[in-house]
Amino acid sequence: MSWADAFRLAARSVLRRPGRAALTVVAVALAAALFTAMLTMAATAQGRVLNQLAKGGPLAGIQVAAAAPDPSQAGVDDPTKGAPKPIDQAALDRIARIPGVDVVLPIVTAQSLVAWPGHTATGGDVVGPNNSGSVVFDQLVGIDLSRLGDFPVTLSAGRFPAPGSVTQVDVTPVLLARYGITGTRTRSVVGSQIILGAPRGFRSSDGTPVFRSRWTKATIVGVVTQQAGSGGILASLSLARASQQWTAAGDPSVDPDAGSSPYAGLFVIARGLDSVPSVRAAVEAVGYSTSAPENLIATVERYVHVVEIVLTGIGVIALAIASLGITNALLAAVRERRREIGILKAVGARDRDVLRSFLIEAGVMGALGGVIGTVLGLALARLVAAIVDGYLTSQGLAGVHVSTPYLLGIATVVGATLLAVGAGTIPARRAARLPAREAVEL
Amino acid sequence: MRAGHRIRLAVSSVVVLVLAGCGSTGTDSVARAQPAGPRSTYVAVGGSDAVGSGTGDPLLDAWPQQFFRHVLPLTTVFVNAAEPGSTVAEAITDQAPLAVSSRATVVTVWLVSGDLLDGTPATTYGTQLLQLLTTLRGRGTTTVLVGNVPPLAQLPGYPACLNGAVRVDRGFRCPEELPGAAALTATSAAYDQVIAADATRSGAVLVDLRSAVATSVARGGAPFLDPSGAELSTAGSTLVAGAFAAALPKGDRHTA
Amino acid sequence: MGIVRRDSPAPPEVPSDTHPYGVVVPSAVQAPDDDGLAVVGTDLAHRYEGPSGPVPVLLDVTFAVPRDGYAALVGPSGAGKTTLLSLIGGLERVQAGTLVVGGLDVATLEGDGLAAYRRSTVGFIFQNFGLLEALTASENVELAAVLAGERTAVRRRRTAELLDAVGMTPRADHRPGALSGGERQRVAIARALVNSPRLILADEPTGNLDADTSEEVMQLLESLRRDRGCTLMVVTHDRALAGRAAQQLVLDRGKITSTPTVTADPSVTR
Repeated sequence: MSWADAFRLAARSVLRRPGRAALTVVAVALAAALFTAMLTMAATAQGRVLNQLAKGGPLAGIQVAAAAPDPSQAGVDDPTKGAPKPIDQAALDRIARIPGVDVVLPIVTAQSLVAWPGHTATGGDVVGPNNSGSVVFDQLVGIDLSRLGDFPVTLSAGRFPAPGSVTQVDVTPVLLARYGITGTRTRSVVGSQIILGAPRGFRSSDGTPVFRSRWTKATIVGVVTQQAGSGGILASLSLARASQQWTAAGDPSVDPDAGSSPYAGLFVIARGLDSVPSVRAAVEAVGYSTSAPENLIATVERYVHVVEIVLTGIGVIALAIASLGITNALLAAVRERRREIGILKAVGARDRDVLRSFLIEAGVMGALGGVIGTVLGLALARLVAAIVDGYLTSQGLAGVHVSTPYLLGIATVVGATLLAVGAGTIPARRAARLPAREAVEL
Repeated sequence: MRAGHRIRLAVSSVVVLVLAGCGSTGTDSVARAQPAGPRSTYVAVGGSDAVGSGTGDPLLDAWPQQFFRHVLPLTTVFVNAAEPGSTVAEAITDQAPLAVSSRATVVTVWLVSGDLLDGTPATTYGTQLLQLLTTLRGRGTTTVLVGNVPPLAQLPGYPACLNGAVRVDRGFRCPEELPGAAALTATSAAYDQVIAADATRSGAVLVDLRSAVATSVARGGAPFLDPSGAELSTAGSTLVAGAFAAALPKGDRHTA
Repeated sequence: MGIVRRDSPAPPEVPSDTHPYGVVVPSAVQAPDDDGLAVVGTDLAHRYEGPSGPVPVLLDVTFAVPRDGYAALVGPSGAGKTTLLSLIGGLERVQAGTLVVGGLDVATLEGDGLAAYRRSTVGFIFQNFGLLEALTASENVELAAVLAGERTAVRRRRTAELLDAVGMTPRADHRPGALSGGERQRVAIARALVNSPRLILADEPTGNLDADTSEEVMQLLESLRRDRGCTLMVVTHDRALAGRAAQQLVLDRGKITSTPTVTADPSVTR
């Protein structure tokens, strides 16, 4: 008997007793759903925790500051910095050539006046004394917006600015708090227009110092949850560079920020977590201070791994219990179908034909239960994640995102099928050993 | 229904369920790129009124700021080259180079109080203004708007000088001998004539502030000057911004 | 002596043994491909394990059914008829004695060999029909060919032919639950013949049928046996049914109790 014929025969036998088959499939499905849901939620939680540690950027990300390293802080995740040291293009190029570096992403910052019509700042560096409080000093932070996934920024409302945009920005909760906007109200700022002014120092013909600003209009398109470097406004490199270059071209006797470092910092992504220590050491050898949560990430990953092992164990136990159900159901089926098995033998079925038929029955129930359980488990994980996401975002925090773990789904279905086949082995062997004389009910 | 068909239907249903569950995993979190448009640069050339000295919130309420915010396209960059107390001659050396180096596409010019109260003759003023306007016009691609003189009672600084003020920071300088009202009125009328002529000759756009302010006063509008009489009030700044906006050619305007 | 068909050529000169019952037992006889197989049992004994020890069911059973023969096993209930048929059909392993079917010593078969014997050599018809409820009539017939590994087109053609031969084509897609007893037995007969066996064993084929249906089934069975050239052995407690056969083997309490009778014209059956 071919495998296709054995499959058809097994399928007929399963469908002949739909109630019993359905109960068995449901048991497997529930176990598979539990397994899938728990592991998906564990992976999501792990991702969220690590994302929080890496502040939304890649785990192998290293922040390079425009400052010399402090030798006493070697090996520390977030060391104190030494004396300021500008980062120029030559330094960026040197760092990019370090072995183990995947990509170097520049960060450009610029001093900025922030004018927000209709809003009054209540704290921080408010421009005055004649002003109403609508204008504050803050910092514009420019990054390559086409590489957002590589930066430690997370969106809590709205969207990121379009790459290269000079009229779209995101703001941080720290800036909004200066205007008394906190919690869920932060979302309401999306769509507002602010005016950004880069100051530049001049000396008039009579020697009087005067500041003239380069003003641009910008629309707030989103709110990010991390402080963008030391600034409250996240923008494109283009916008930040234009502002920084305007300020830097000023009279240094009037404005000390004139001639400042072209890059406020760099975000270096190593080729992997294993490369982070060596890359950090190499960057510090070039002369710049670095920070990265490598030690913290390693610790967290160890603890999360333990949790995953425990959850996997619980899931496997659930599947094993379901497998016992399959064994029990098939043993009962063998008892009930003694005559039928005898007839099969009598018309020429070999022992292994009977064995194969019963194993396929078990496998079909396991596979079906695995598929249904995987879908249910993913749906359950998404439901829980949606609830958690809603709570986190209501608190002004970054939410969670559940990916579709295809590999886990496949593994669950395959695992459930194999467990079911294993569970069906004893009943299948018992059926195979039944003599053909059962057909004549001696 | 035959069992074989039932089996195929069951399998198909499960496959459809699985595929339906594997939907998209995230929303587009990056804003769509805005439509590309020509970047325009607006430079304001002027005096203390252009830096909003008399307004409640100079960085927001100065009339060039209002003009920039409400009238010009979203991608416009605005540089305020104005210096309090500047005359046209000073603007030629201190402010015009910034406008040129910034590659300004729109320039507003309103420099009347300093020269008028300083007693600069209309002919001299006209010559200097023409030089300024011509420089700012560049090759003729820059839109330059030039404002004329408001009625004397609303001339920033004049009421303050009448009241005995001498100098307020660098906002204005009152002459030691303030000309009489009749003489100033005649001079301001001459100023208006040369301003109009210079605008025509240079291709600049004349902004008739005299009429706009007179109309506002006749209608009983909000005070044009601040209580000291030295600077534009917030309402006055809004009026001036509106007058310049009305004169701005359509092609330079915000089109949303 | 062996039963010889009137119109068949003289059997080849082969060594033979003389059976106590006077039946000539040809040894190493190879039937022509289009004839049934000879079945010869010698000193067959069989026992079952009961709660209080082994229970003998067959005691020194010796018999011979010639190739292409038609034999009936008669006797009261518990005489061992079904057990003997099961041994011949390979449903039970031979415990003692010899059993030669078409020259093949069935006692030496086991496992896959025994399954192959059941699949290809024997067609078994059960008293309770022996159909699988999960399959349609057509699928039940085809099952034996499926187990034999026949190609799909071949087995479907054979199934269609047999269903037509037993008059069940209109009911081919019905499950056994929707068929009458007679219809089920027809299907069972078709299944028994799908692999072209040369030995048909029928255990009380009319035991669950009324008189008219029984007659129909027996006529069908006998005509198919004639058309296809098979040896037919039928178990029955019905003497009248037994009388239709060319040979009667009478069993009582596990023993052959009477000499096999032979009709005058063994090629003719009622």
